[in-house]
Amino acid sequence: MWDLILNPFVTLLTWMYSIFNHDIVLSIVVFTILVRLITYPLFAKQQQSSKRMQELQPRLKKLQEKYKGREKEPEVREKMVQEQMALYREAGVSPFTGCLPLIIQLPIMIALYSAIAFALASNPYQLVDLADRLLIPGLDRLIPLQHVWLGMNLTVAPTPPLNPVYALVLPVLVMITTYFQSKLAMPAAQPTVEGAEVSQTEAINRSMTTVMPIMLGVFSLSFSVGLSIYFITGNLISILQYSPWGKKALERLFGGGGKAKNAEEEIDESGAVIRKPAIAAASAGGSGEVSKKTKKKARR
Amino acid sequence: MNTFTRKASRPLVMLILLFALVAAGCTTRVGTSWPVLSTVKLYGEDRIVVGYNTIVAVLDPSNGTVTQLEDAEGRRRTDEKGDPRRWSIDGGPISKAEFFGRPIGLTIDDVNFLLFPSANNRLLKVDLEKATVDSPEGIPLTSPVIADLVASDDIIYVAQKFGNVVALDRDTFSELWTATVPDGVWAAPVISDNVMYVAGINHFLYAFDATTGDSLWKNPVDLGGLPGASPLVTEDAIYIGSFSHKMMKISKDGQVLAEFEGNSWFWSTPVLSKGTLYTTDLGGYVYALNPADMTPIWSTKAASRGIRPAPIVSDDYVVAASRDGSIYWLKRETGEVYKTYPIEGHPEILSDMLLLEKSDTISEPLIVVGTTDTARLAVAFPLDPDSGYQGWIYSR
Repeated sequence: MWDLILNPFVTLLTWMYSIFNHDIVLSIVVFTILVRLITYPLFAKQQQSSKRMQELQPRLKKLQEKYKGREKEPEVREKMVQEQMALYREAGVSPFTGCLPLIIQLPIMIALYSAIAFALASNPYQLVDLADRLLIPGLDRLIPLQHVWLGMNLTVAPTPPLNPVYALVLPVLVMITTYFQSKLAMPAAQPTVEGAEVSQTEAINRSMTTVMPIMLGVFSLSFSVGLSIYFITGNLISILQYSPWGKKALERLFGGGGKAKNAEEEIDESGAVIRKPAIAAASAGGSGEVSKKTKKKARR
Repeated sequence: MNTFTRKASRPLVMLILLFALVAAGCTTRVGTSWPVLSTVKLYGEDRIVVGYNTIVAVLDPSNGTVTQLEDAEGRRRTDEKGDPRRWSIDGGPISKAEFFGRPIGLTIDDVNFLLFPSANNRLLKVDLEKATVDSPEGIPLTSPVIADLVASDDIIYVAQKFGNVVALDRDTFSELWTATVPDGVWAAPVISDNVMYVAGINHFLYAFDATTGDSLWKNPVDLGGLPGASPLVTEDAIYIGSFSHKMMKISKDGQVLAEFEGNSWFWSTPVLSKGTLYTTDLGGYVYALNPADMTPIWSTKAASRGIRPAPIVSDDYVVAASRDGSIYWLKRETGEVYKTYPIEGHPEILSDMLLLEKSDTISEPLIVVGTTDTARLAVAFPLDPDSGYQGWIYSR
């Protein structure tokens, strides 16, 4: 089953290697960009769902406040759930489907990563798995793929003596780009009546922004240089995707994705959902601006 | 779903993704190999040497147990607790050694050694009688070595993973010359009639003078794909397969004489027996070819997964071991699968098999296969599929 995703990926990467004049780094970069572009509609849907859920938080909080202390009563609990569901319906989101696009993306990202690891096989035991994975006849004549780039061996870890000292810049770049990517990906802080819970969540988010880059940087010390290049490329693409400029460009390319195709929404101070025409939303700076605006309003 | 759970789910998903990536990375088998099997004479008897990652053990071929060490008088060596000492070393803690290729035996000043190639840029000398590493630093090299070591009376030939074959003096280990083979060599060179044939991972076959290292062919032979195994060199020709799905017959002066196209990668050294060439591929096929013109006599899809090791050919059968964890006996004349013996747990079999002839210690010829399952690292079977002998299993 897993091979159904992985084998086409390995084949595609090797085919790209053949058309890009045996430049494996260029192949990895283009391959990563291509896969990210293909999965962008899923990414956009996930982002939108996440944003809407976040914007809904003040109203959900108010609802919890309303029934505070009585949640254990079955009737009250049922009523609260009904009102919550009504809010979700009104905002056009579902608490259960928010993670679905991410779950769909997960095997694709793992396949992308594994395809690079397989294609960069550096010893016979790794290479033996590649025999059944190349689906286009003739591609196996390209094996082994060129694995030296800028004096670095892409198939081994960046640490000396396996690679020159300057290869250590790659784990550092992995850390830096992961940090910025995580920072941009983290949801903006939401104002609440009751601060305790959210500050705990924000603390988790903040610690993730710190822990993730360090973890990935440390892992990159033992992973092959080729995978570090994949991580850096992936992070740079995510940074672009999360940036307002990137969002606008991608929305133009894919038509905005999901429900926000024709209209954008804001949550006003009372928590009501306000629908805005797409042109107006675009002139206000796109979806990235909406959440900033909401945040400023709430702070006031 | 409360606020906290919902908000915390995002970082949790990211963490799951990260660990999934790490797990996927681990499945690419970085820094590991399949076991290597060879034989050595120890205390006057043939023994089996098993190398796997950092471990080497010498086994008794009659039952698969690790050999007990003996002193010069033939008494069992014991440790501080009085327990018998067994022939096993772990090259990891000693010198971070990793064993991918077969060792050679050496005698220096009347002391017998095994010289192991290691993936950490060195050759490691091990005292055969005492099972001790002579020097953790070993003999330094400029590249890892994953191919078997090869030696003549005077020279040790070291095929380096990242390129070139280095010739070392057999007594002093000083470098005599280097034969240039770009990119890397994964398969052991073959020495025949003072010629060294080397298959490079750059898809070319080279020929060098085995004494001086001078190149003998004007142009190396383009094999069209990566040659994973050493060539078979006979009196009049060289036979070699590659990932191009082709098994080639090449003249001794470097001309392609004939070729056969199989179904998948050829990763084993072919075997010539009684006028027929036998070989296997990673599509699970076993082939019998006419060595004169490389036309097929028969081909059989024997296994569900690839067959990496070279076949063993007996009077009646061709024996092949597959990644599907089974051993197959095919009738030599027709290629019909006569018997299949699945190893419990279906561990991958990738190592070249050992054929042990009948001797004082073993009552009938045995085949030993190496698997990637440490609970069945080496498994012995009778060569005769009808003998009824149960064989043995060596577990780490």
